[in-house]
Amino acid sequence: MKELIKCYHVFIPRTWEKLLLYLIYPVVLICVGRKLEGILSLFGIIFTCEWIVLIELLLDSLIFGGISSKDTNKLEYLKTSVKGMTVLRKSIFADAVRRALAVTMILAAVYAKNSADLPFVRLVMCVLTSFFLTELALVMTRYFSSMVFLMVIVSVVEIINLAVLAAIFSWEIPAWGTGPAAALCILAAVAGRTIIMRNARKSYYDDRD
Amino acid sequence: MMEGRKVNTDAVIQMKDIYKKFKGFQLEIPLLQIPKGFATALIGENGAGKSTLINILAGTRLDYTGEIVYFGGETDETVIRESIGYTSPNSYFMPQWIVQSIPKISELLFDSFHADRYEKLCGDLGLPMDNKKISGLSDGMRMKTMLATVFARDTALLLLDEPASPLDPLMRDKLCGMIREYLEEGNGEKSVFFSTHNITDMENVTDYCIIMERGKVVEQGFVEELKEKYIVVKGEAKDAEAAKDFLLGFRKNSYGYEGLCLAEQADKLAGFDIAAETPTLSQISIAVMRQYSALRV
Repeated sequence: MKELIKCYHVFIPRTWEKLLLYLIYPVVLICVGRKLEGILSLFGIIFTCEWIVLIELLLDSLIFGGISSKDTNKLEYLKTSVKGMTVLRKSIFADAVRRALAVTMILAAVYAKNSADLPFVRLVMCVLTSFFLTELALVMTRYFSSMVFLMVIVSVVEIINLAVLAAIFSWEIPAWGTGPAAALCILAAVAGRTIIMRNARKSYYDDRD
Repeated sequence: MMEGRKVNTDAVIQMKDIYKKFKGFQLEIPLLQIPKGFATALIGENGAGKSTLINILAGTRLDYTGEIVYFGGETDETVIRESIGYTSPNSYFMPQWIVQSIPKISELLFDSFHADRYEKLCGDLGLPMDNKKISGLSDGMRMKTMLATVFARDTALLLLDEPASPLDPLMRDKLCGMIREYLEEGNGEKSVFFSTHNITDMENVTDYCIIMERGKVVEQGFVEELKEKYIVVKGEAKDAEAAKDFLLGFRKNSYGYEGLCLAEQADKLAGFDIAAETPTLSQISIAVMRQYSALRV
């Protein structure tokens, strides 16, 4: 675990970045989400989900910004070390674990404010949707260093997220539905990591996607 | 073209049939050895294949064919990578890293990294240990940071790609001192291989020289041997056309001509009124490069 965190912090070197990631972003979003939940009832959690996707994608541009892009060659120091690729792999894994915990914690805290109005299964689906769409979007955003491309992808993903959340709140979701949704989340996270690692390995051969 | 030849020393790296093709360029090295215990300079014009070769040797580029033998036959990749310190003029560190984080990251990446040595080197090189982003450093400061990271490790070979280019003259002199000290500490076991365009500045630390042009090694040898192999010839303009055929890097102006002549062919210029001098490494390099260059110079 300590090793995982050490590897992750290779990409988050500054103290304010760690504070932002581990403390400020979740606490602020919990406070805002709970306030919105108090005013807008169920819409509070939908807004919180939208904010989570946006902030996670912006934060990732700080951490792994454009790591898979072909026009950048940022991995030279890591590539000279025999441990470089392991460090990268562990840090991407740690990032996905941190994201899963952050999304769950934030939405659970917002949900706790008004749990009587919202079936638990919908909360789980909100967590899984936000995580899944963020992981999926990261596969694309990590190919671009440009903020413009990032914002275009963010906009598209936010619209999809809104549509999926609307569906979750409109239809009755059976409890068993969370199983396949969780499997999709794991698949998205594994696919994201595999693509980054494949590109990192391909950079040794000047053959990135 | 002169191809790789055997040297009478142990080799820290031996390359055989190295081949890498790009669009419009190919690196072809039938045989090349980098002598152990010396500072070897890799000289060549832009696009000659120097960085490609160093990247291949550093293991950051694997899309080539051929055979490379490190440290007399070491096959353990961990040992090889731990024993090599490599710097590059390109994006070497992640841009979001800060100067302060480099020792921690290096300790994680390399077993032989000494944070205390790095700190001392930072002091010696005037590098601040603050939270400034690497992307915000000047090229020179970034190179100094790279040099501090490689000199703070226990290595047997330094592969430095253009280390002198972004440095000021004082720091180049300091770099030569650091290389010399590194070799002395190694007592014949440590070697340095660096590419450079700053031949004059780096000459006093260069023991062995490899000149590349258009992806091929066109000349190599110990600097002292090369200085005996060639002589600089200067003559009067009236003899220029006749002397041209015996000279490398021939240059003519209204006052006379100048070129590099193989010492063994000097007698062919016996009938001309010439002045002969011992060449500097820079003169040898430029003359050889001019001979093989695609540039119209």
